[in-house]
Amino acid sequence: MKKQDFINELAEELEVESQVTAETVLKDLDEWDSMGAMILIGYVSDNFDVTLNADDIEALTTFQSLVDKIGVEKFS
Amino acid sequence: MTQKFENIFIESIAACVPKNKVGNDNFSNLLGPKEIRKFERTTGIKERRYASIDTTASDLGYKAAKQILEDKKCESQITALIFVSQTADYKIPFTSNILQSRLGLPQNILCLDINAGCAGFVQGLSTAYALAATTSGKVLLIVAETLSKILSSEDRSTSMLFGDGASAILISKSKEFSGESNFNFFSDGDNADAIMIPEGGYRNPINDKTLNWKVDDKGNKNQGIHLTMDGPKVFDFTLREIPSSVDKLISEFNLNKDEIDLFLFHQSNKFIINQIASRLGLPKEKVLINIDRFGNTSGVTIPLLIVSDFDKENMPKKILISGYGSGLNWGCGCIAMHPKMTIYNLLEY
Repeated sequence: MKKQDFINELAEELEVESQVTAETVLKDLDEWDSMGAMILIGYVSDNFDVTLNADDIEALTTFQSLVDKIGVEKFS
Repeated sequence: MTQKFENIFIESIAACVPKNKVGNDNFSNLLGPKEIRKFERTTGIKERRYASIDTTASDLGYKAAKQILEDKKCESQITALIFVSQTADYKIPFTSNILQSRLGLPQNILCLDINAGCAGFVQGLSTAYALAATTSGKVLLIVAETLSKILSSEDRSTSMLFGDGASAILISKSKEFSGESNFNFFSDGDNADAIMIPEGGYRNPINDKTLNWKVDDKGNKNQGIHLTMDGPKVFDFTLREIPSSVDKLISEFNLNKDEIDLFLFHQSNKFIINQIASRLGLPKEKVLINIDRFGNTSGVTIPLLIVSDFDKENMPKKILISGYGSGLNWGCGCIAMHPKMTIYNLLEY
């Protein structure tokens, strides 16, 4: 999956209305909350077979930090 | 701990929920329309039932139990009554003793209350099986909760998740029933504070500040007598421990996963149930969900799921149950079902 496609699809899952990039900070989004975290964990688990826990979520900053956590090699 | 039982089975099961349905639109003080939509998508909860101010958990349990007793007329054969709840009638005396008289049960009976959370049905059922194995009579298990009465209406992390309900389960023994049932149990007291009512017990007795409202770092407001929950901690615990606890039960007792007809997980949250099911590689049709209609009713969820969603024309032979919650505490059971188990229609009170 291309990195930007991943970011766009995840933003859609999170129902984010603003434009997002790799540099967007998750916690700055109005839509980011505990339910958003659940959606993100499910999306990442289903698409990359990577299980994120609460500490991983707490440590996330930008979408790029999420890509790094999943593993950059998984993106084209 | 693990347990194995033979010749013990659930003879009948009933459930009762309050009439009053509370939809998500009642929580517009906490969540906007978009957040409510996301709440429904993730938790799966659309409505829950709330008991009226003068209805207790034991009232709901009484109704469910009475439905079984009026049909089976087996009062004199019941030698033990177990009441599982975190919302008992009084601090003293314990509720099962009150129900003994209310239900017209004999005085030569063992009455036992178990204060257990979302794993309460699994704990109560294994205790009932152990008692049934050593008595000639039947065991009546009642699991009942009115969690609506311990929630803060201004705490987003708890107030929308929980609902009220009760179930009664009659457990019997017969040499003619050859089915085997197995249980396993786990506890993690290090995380006792993950789900807690911090005040009102004797560690932090009620005092003149107990009813003061406190605000946490996420803006949730609670009094000391309200249920609090560390959502991320509980979420991590569930996904970390529950799939492996199910696998352990299956491997410990050499069970064949394909021979298990249905998997009944505690109805805590649809997202979590789906994640557990996916990690265990379970087909969707084997995993029942009713959280959309009743929310999380703590230990009541699994028996309520049997009453609300079992196909009476196509009874399963073997089911797997898994409960997990406050303590932290979790347990699983693989239960052989009696082909003539009676499931009563869901009652409303």
